[in-house]
Amino acid sequence: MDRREFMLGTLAALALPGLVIPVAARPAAGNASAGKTVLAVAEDVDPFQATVRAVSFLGGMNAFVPVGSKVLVKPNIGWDRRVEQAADTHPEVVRAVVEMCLESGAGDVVILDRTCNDARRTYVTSGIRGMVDALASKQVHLEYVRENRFTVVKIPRGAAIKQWPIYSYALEADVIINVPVAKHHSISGLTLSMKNLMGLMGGNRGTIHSNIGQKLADLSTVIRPALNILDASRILLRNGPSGGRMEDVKVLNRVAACADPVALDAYGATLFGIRADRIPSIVAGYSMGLGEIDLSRVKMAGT
Amino acid sequence: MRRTRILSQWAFGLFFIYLFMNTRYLGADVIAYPVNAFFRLDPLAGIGSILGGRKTPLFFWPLLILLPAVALFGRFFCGWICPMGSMLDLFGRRSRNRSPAPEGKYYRIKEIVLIFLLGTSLFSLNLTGIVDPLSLLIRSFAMGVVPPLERFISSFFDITYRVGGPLRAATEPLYGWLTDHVLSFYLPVFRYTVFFLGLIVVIIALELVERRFWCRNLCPLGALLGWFSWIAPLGLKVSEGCDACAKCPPTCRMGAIEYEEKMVIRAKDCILCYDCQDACPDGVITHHPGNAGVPENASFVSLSRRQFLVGAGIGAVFPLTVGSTSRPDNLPPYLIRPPGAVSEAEFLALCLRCGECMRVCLTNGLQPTLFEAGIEGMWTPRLVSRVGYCEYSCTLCGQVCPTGAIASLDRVFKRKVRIGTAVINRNLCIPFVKPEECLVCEEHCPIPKKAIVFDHAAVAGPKGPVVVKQPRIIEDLCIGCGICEKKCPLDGESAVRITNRGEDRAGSM
Repeated sequence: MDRREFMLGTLAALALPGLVIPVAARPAAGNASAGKTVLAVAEDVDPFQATVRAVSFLGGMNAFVPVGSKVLVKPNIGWDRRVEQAADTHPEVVRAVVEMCLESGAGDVVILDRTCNDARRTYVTSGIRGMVDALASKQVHLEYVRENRFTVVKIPRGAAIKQWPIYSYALEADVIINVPVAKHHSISGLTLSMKNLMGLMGGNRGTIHSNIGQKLADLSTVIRPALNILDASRILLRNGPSGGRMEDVKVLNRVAACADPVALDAYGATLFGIRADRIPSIVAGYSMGLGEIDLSRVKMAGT
Repeated sequence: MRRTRILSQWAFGLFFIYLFMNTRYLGADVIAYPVNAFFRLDPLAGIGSILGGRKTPLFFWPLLILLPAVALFGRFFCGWICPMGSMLDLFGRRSRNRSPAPEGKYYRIKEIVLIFLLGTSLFSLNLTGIVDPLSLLIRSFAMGVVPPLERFISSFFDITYRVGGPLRAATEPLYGWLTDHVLSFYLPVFRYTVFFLGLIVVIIALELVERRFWCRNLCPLGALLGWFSWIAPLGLKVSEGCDACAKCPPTCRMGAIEYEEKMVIRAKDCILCYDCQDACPDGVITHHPGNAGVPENASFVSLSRRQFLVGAGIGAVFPLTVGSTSRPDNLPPYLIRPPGAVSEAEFLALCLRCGECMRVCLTNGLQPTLFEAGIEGMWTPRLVSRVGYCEYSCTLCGQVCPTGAIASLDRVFKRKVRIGTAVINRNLCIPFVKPEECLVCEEHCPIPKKAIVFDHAAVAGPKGPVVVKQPRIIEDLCIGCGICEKKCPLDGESAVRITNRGEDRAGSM
């Protein structure tokens, strides 16, 4: 079955809820079975509060971060843009995540991204540097990605990529918390949680764009965040992923959290008025059993 | 005094290194202090840019203090301040060859070079920085010494990281500290590194021939300061009571002491190191006033009139014979100058080729030219986008340029300055040659409204037509920053390249 057949099948399944879903499109594994996936959404003008509440609807950070664990927090810090331009994850969202990790007893919290603009500039301009400096915690490290710290990882279930260099710390960390910002992207459609994991990829990432949906899903089979937190405090509607125009930014004051990246991305798509089955990575992730595409089968929590 | 001099050399030397190390992005858009401060004290660079650029940059105001002081006391700059001189003293200290010989075989070279440089500067081609010691040092360190050194250090930590375990744990703190405070953010890559390293190695190795070989024989800045200190009424002199014991000449690293019934110090060559004063058993080497420092046979310029005129003449003719690239219609198409660069002719008249901009460039994209900008443009900066693009909100190169060859731009203004225009090569670009998506160039375009847009095109795929997005440049919006050229995922040549078409140059002649 090729992608087109699959997508038609999926659409048919979505159009006829409760009827037979094509066998091959049925999730092979994962936490996507009906009723189990909980997706929390919190609305608050303060992104910090929104984040704390969203996670609390999932049972709090304790449910994801064991005591003494090494945590990797992966926000989007890809672009040399200011907070309000919505190209990077809001530093207050990241601060909330980091503080909750510390409260849960995390040993070390490492924050990093393999950036698109110069990392020194993006860390400063995005506000992440200032936030981390203000925390002044010895357990929190804002790390620059070093090119010699990637390890080539086999992707056994990969359909489009069979191996790729992945940042070592992503492989060593006990827990990964993925903290994307929701925004427009001309090839992937939207940049959401699965796309955000590209920041842990080494090598020539530019080649990802061909058949990007499948490649992002392949990547998600080897990098499995315990929790995905979508920053939709303000979203970039056009001219993404780097943006820069305030008229392309829409303030939503929302933060969503979910262990299931597919469900979270499916929810993220609705924020843009886009159907989840139009975003290739969501479709591919669902077909690989990485999560639930149908939000009617997801338990929504929060406001 | 000798101890004070050595202290001063260390102080200025370490200050020079400190400024060099801080010639980089340190977390703020504006570099808080002038990391190019040494050039303010550099009369060769100053005269070169003032003559060449036909304007008087206020930047060089400290010369109004330095030059009169040199005229009074002599070449103390060379003995007390110049980091090149200090470095040579450091390496030459153990050199057995003290060569007390006054005026050796090659001492005229530096004046010939100086005359040539003044000639070219008069005709609006400023080549002083190619041989100016401060400019040469910064350029050699940045492009010749630092890259191999850092490659060596990082390859060591690459190994410890691969080995892992306790070795990695043991070396991590040191590596972390080095990356935070010493090493460049990325491993620096520069063209012609071997040449820049070789040049500085040769200059140091010449200490084996004579102490301070460079300063005595080759340095045009030394020659210029020598002219200013020809008489030096308050310079170091041998006063009455010298019995010509000849103990001082072997101590002189400049070969400035000669015998003329008694010992005479040639003010033009003396760099006030005070070694002779320590060696003098009678204590007759002092600063007493008068012009006894001028030997009877001395002349202001060591060159013959013919040498002088020929040197100046060649210098004056040289710019007239080259000048080809300074015409806008004759610029090599891929010669992209940094944002804020003045018009090409003025650029060649001002640029010292010191390498400050290339050192500070965030992305390592500024590279030295060899002959790409014509022989007259040697070592000037050009943006090689495939190596590193021009970061949209970065203004560092203009901030560190000592002469205004690259204007210092406001961040908001800089984002609008066009250094060139991107051109897509449809014979290479993926969605034009294959039924595949790409658009990495569009994704990275920093222009808020996107200077790269795309068209939907039906191309032949394995199972019939496929619709792909093909990029297109909006020329009116493109500023030529080159991030598209840098990030193009093709191996080898990028499918999008920056040409200097439509470039904005600050000012004009």
